[in-house]
Amino acid sequence: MTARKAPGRRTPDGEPGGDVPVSPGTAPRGRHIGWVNRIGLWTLFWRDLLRDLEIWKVTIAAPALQAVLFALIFELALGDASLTMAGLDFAAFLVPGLVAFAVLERGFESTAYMMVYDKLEGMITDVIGAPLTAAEMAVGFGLMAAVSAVITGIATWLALLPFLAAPPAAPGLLLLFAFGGGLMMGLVGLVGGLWADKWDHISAVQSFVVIPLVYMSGVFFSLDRLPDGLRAAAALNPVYYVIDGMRYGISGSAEADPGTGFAVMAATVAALWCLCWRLLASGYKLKP
Amino acid sequence: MTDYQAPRRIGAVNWLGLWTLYLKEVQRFMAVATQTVAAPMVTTLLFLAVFTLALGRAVEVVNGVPFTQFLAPGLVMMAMVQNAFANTSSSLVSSKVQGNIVDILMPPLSPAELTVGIALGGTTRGLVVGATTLIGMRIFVPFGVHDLLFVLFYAVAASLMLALLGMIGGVWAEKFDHMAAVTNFVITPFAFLSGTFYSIQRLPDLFQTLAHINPFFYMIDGFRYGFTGVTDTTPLLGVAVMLGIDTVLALVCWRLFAAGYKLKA
Repeated sequence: MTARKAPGRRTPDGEPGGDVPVSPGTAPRGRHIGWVNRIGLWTLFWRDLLRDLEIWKVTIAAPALQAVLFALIFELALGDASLTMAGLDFAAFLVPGLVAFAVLERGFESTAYMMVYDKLEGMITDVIGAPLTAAEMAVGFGLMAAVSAVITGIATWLALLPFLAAPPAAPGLLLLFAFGGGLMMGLVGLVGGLWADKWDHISAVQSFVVIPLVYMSGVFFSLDRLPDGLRAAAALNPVYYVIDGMRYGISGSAEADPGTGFAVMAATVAALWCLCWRLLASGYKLKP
Repeated sequence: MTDYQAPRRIGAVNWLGLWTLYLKEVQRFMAVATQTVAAPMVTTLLFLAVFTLALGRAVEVVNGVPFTQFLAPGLVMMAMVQNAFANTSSSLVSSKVQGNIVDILMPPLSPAELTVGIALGGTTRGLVVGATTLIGMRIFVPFGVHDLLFVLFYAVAASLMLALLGMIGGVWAEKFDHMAAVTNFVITPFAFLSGTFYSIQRLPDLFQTLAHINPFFYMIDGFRYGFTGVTDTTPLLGVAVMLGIDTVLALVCWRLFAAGYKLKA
């Protein structure tokens, strides 16, 4: 057994110094981390998902109630007038749109608000200081947002059952598009959260970019209602494909081909993920 | 010879203090006008676009008024009341949470002066948002004014009512969660379901009766009457309801401040 004087340590009598027992057999060793830090990734994912679930009144109940309010308003405003949209009865058109809106907005808020909060409170060092690579952080944050968004989406769909009492036409595709949409907006929220220096910035992104984009991408009306120029722009809009794909999953009818929609969504997610990965790796607005 | 500074004489009303409190409340939201004025305007215009694009072909006329002209005043009123409420409630809750509530409790301001100063700040936010939204909407919807007096009365009375409600909520709430819950689960449903988007004649009988004891219904209906000249009730009844409720709420706020409820030990 070897011993060395440890500065700052005191003996039992209160004298400076003291021995620190160090033996090769009992000293703690660094944890061996392989290619992927599984424990770290899982911890990051759970930590942030639990933060969302803990305030479920704001993250789950409020979006579901908002969707119910919208459905009620549209039903009452429509009254006796009949309306079909893209070949669907209006309720069958609207309900998937509202579920998609809840999913997309939660995906964005999940990462965006978490990142701004952690930056302002200084808690972001907990993540930066942990042995996580930039790629692992981008994966952890993105998956957390996607799962949080899917949970909110399920709650919203259940709350809207009185307006459209039918099982989803294609549950697998619905989950796929909901997960992909939540992941996509979660990555957008991550970019926004990294960029924003204060709450004003992130709420400006939400009010002036995210909500207008989602509202005008087919939540409430089919694209043939738009003027020609806007309709052409919408065909390039990945948010539109997510909403359209989820509508196919719930009501069994879509304007675009779900295969095309999936390809556009996957390409967008891949591009956004690379952007997040580079931003986190370069320490953009996180490290001096 | 001493040159002590004589204390300021305060008459029946501390005008300087009242004005300072009002300015503080107004500058608080004007400092972040993109969030407090521009964002509500954009959201309200989006609602107009969404409802017109979705329902415009199926619902052309409501109560004899073209759908967009029916919708526009309701949406403006919705934006006004939500923002008047947000201003006073967030002002009080954040002051309490951060501890700078003492800045308004310590100065020589009476409970009545506190009520008036804070409520007028919230009313101003409602009116600024309302005016901005109205101007934005006028670009897309060709509405005229039927009776300017009604428009102004309801704009002020409704903003004041929600500003007072926001004060009561703000005094009661202990953290931001409480306030968010009141906004999400009480104020937004009332603002959405009280006739902004449809005539209450669409409702089942029971809910039509209930609408007549809902002040949000009177403010939306009366404000709309000012623009379109069409109403679901009699406009003067609405005036009486608004005056009565504003008076009662102002008295409640005054008593809460006087008693120091959740503000003073």
